[in-house]
Amino acid sequence: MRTALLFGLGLALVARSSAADSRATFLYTPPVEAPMGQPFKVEGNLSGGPFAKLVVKVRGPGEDYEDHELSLQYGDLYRATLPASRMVPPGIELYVEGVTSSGKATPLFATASRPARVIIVGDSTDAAAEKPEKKKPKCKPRKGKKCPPEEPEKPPPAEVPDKPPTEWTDTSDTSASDKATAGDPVAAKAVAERPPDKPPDRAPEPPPERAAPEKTPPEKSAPGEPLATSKPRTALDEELAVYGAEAPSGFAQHLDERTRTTVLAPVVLSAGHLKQLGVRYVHEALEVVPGLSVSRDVQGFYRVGVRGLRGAPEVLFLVNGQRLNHFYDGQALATLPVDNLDRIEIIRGPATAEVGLGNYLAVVNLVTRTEEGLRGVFTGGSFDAFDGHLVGAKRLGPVTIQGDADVASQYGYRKPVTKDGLDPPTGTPRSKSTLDNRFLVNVGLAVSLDTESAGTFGVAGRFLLENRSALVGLFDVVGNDSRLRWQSIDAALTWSRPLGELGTVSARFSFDQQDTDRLWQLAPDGYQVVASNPNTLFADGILEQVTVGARSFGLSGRADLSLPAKNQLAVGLDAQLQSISSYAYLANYVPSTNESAGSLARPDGLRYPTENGQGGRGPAADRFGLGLFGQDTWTPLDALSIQAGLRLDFTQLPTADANGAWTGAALVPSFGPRLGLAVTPFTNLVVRGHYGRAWRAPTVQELAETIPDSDSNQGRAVGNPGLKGAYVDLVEGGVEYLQGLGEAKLRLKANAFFEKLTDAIALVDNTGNLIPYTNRPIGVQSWGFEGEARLEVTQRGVAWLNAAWQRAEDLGTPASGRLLTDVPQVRFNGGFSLPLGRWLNLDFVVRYHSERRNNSRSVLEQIRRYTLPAYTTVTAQLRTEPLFEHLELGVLGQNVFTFDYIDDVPRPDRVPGGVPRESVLVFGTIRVFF
Amino acid sequence: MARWLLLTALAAGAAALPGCIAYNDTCQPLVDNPNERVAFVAKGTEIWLDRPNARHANNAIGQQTADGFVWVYRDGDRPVDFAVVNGGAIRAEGLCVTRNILREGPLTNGTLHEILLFENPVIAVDLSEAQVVEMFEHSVERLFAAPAPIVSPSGQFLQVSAEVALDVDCAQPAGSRVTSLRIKGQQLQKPGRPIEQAKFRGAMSSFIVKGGDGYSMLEGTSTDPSRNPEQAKRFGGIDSNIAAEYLKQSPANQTVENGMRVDGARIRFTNCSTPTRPPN
Repeated sequence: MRTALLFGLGLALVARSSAADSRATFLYTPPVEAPMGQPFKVEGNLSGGPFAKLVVKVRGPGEDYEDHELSLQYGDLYRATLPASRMVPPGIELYVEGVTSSGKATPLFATASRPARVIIVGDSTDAAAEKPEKKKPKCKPRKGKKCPPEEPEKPPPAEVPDKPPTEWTDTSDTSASDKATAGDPVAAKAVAERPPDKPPDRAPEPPPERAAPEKTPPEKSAPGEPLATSKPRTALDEELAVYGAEAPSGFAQHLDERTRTTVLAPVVLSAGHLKQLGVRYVHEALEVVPGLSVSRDVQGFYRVGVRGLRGAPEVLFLVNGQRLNHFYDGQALATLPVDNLDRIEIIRGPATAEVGLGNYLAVVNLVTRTEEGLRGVFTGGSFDAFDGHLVGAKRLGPVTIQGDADVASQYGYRKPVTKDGLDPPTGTPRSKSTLDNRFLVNVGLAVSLDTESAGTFGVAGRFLLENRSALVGLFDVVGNDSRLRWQSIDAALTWSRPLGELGTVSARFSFDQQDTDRLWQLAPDGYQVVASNPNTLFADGILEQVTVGARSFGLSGRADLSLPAKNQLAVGLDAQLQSISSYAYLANYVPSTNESAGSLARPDGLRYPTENGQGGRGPAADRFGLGLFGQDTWTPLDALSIQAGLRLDFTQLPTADANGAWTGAALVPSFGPRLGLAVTPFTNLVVRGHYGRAWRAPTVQELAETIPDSDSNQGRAVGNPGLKGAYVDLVEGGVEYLQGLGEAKLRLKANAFFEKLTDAIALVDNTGNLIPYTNRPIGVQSWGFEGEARLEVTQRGVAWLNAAWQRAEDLGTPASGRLLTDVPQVRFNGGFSLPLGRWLNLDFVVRYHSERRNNSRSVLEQIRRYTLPAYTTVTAQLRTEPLFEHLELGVLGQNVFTFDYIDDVPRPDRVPGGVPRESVLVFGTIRVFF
Repeated sequence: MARWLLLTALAAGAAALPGCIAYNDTCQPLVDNPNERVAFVAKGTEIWLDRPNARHANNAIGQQTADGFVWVYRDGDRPVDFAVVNGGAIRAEGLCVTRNILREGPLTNGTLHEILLFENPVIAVDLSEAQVVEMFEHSVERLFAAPAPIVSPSGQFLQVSAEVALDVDCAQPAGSRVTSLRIKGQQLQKPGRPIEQAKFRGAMSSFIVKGGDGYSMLEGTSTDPSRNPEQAKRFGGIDSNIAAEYLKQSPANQTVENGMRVDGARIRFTNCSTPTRPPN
């Protein structure tokens, strides 16, 4: 902690001196090419100053420069949009200058004599048809009125022969640009004939006011721009969308995004990042986020560890704001392909007060692409992996239609499992291996209607289907005949309406139905439990089948209001009704005798979570929740933003007596206060701090799951009706810093955190029998820090590194055993993207996980020792730039050096080899877009 | 300036590296006097601690521990008739190293506490004959019948004190495997008489008396005053401490010739799979 504080202090001091004496620059990397006839954004960060305004000066070859003022977005982020009519072949030249209040102009990016060039790609004949752009008369003469005389049109610029676009050089290399002119007398002449830079001809304007947060209603998207603003969004979506929109480059989010209003800065992995990272699925992407680590369990689920702690129900997964976590067990069908995603947004720790219950250790929001057009991706590779992805959007007047679809299948990797719970202690174990086959369908459709008077209405739906095997098996035995099916359907109706200057109001109704059908093989084909008893022979192995259906209805409403004195208030409420719509537990054996039951049947005496044991419905099977929130963001000073929020929830939970018998249900209140601030002492430095508290209810599984007390089930988890909800309190502080290095930019980010979980829900094996989930009343805590650095030389040339360290402890354990070490304490991720000529890119990503060991919360955990060595995986990818404007190709290698690594299992004493993970995987990808 | 920034960041990161990865120190001895001898393992003898031998056969550590439970109540108001130790309480894994075999020679206090890791309180209760019979049927119901290999044997198997003589036939179905049961020479009857007619006072760990390892027939007895529940008062009432103190004063701590050895007559197995010598 002291090191982190010193680091932060040192960083602030260095940053202060840096900001004070550095030359003012505009950090911007223009693209090499831009499409013809589409608006073009010039967007970058100002370092240094102050200036009354920033101006981008743009011209075509041989033309005069014309001014386009850059407007301040947030913090130090400035943006100007060049009109589509300006974007004609062969290209444009541009530079940026700052103008002080006295009218003095200072070049900030490139200069008039050495501007940056952007090649405009497209058919010049079409451009010519558009380019003439005959100046429209400012008014039409009407009866009785005359138009004022128009200013005479400027004479056309001197005829300068345009160079064909193919002869233009990469603007990222200005020396190359000079070489081109030096070697070409025609171009040299054009440069010589450029008019000298004009001084500003307008009176200096007052400094632009910083954008008030969400003060203006969202504008309608212009054609060709992302449709996101016209799409109804959830509260979280709205909150987070800013980051995706404003982080077009940089692994870390932009330095000063919404500095004055944002105290919680999510990590955003944009589509561009995801492509550079060489990841195919969401969980592969999460692995490179500092503070997160991903592993797989024996059943094949991906487990996300957040800051040293791990629990499936404690990470909230959303797709476009729609919850993915299953009501029964909190697992989320979130292992989706990234190809159709616009971005992944991650908040570590509790999110803002407006996010509903479930945001505990982290929130992960998956946002699908919404840009107009059609895009398809096709991949094939190792272990018969084939997948296709299609995403598109179309605007038809006030109606916008968006859709995405993924279909993926794989046979999956196979690696030997050396020993499992059915192997005798001595002798030759039977042959067995992992099995990771999977078939996935993910289809989403959204339609929105934007009316002038009544607001925007939307309807969205998604269908998810996953059929897969168990990676190893249910618990401690390999069961390759396990079949796991998961189907999810969700739908949402949304409405939002601007209230003019006052703000906006919105409402949302949602529904989802999730059905899981999991057939587990607990012992292999032909297994006989008792050698002398033929009734204990199982030709198809010992089987268990659990089917669960869960249904949710949700209704929410909110208002975002602009209040006097620079306050922005958000208030809302949400109600949710969740229920287990179906449940069945079947087994093909008789638990008390181990004899075959002939077929799958309900074991005698087993009480389902949907039953109360007295012929009625179990109180754990239904849950009503009502939440209210209020959150105010106050920006008293330009460089200070304070946010305070409170969330109040009432959650229906079952009650039970000391023996675990249900006695009824009660509404349990929970409080979630949030407080944070963001300070911007310099334009390139922001300091943030916040406190947040969130609560989570036990899942139905944690409360009420029952399984037979059989031989094969010893060591497995069962519900605990006496379980309480758990709180997490998080304190976090951090700094972000941006430094220009010539035309490159370096972003640094560091933050430290401390979180304490009260009554944490955990599974600690004390007995080796059926293990009930328990609260850890004394608490669990975690603290540590995370750091990120990203150097962007050009848009294609990027190097990045991040690191995370944390220490997690279970305070209810004696001091010598309280460290929680089943999640890596240290993580490093790093990589670079390198252009190989004009058409190829090389991406290289390294991931390092430190050694993991067993926890020691109980004697059994202590003596079931395991050590999972530190490991490093390397991803390499070769991909093209867009070919023929519609095509990209790529070859991806994951774990290219075939590092062997394994993940932990619940019974390391019986499965000492752990869960073997993938060796080298190779995939080829084709991307097409129109 | 950027160079300095980078150097500062790298220095801060590097400064944090040494010692930043820490793990639990599981090798710390569980007792203050880990090297004190509590007994000898008898000359020419080995004690096998692996699961099949702890959970599927008579085991000297389990037997001596059960004898210690009887001993600790001997001078109290209510001495016990017998004692049992569940096989799952006998661990080979240890804190740092796995010990499948104890060879002849001294057995230290530290090692004994690593074998009896759980440190459960010892509780004595009055049981009916029916409960005792049911308890022993449960103890042996998951034993493997010969010639099946012994795979993941259940920890519910009970090691018994010297007062118990038990005959088991693994060829019989679960629930009918106990062919003979005597406590202090008294033959018990099946299915057993109620407590008013036949009462046996037994000592065992709190884990099984509260129903652990499937001993549901014992649940509630430790909180039922009519069963006279009593936690052992000496040596903290903890199973491993009692076993250590018992051994220290026993003949097994006098000479290696008198050291601990397994008593194969306490539980006699018929048609049951027999565990073999474990690997080191």
